[in-house]
Amino acid sequence: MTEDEAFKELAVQNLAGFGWTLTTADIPDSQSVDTVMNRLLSWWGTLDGDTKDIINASDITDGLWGKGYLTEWPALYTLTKGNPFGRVSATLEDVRMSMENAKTRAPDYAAQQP
Amino acid sequence: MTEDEAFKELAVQNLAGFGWTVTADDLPDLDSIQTVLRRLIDWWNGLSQDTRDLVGDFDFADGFWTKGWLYEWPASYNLFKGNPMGRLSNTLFDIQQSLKNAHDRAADYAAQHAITPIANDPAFQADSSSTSTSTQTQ
Repeated sequence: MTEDEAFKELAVQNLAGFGWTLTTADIPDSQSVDTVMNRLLSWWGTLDGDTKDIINASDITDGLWGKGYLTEWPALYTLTKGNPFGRVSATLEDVRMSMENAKTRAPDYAAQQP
Repeated sequence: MTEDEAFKELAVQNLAGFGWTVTADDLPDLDSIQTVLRRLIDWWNGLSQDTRDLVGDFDFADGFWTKGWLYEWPASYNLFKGNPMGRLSNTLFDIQQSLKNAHDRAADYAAQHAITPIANDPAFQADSSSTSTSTQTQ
């Protein structure tokens, strides 16, 4: 198993732990994932507290899609659609942690798999 | 009709022109309305263009409500709910224009509707009393 395959498999497992159902085909390479997540988190980081409070309860998915922020990872649309965790910040954090964990574990996991 | 009553009546008419159904009871005094609108417009204008693009189509009614930003004008929640004008900036603009127009026209409108009912006219009442007395006499 390649490291890229391991990353995708672990990402699917981690996301499943939060209740999302994806396949490895829904996960692009880790660099594309980083590009999208960094873009989203950078944008989120520019918002003041009031704006975060107001936006947090909204479903921002269509806005992200319309703005082209999900281009490198289109399937992220299905993760954020409906604001499944009730707060944008919680959704972004759960996705970020899942991807970070998958990226960290991928080399060992790939080495252990036949 | 007082100027405040005229303002509210005109505001209801203007907002109806944009498809909103509100009554005069839904409208507080002008200062309260301006406080709410100024707060929302200042917030909107403070957002980056990217953020406006991203969130412009959102329904912010619940967020505004939870934040306490509609406190002085609770019924404005119904104007924002569902983001009826498609973009928050449009909704804010339409509300602002409706109320500005109502404010600008209120003084004249109140003056035009200050005519007292004819039944309250002292001359009519005197005349009416005279007729009544005359009838009794007969």
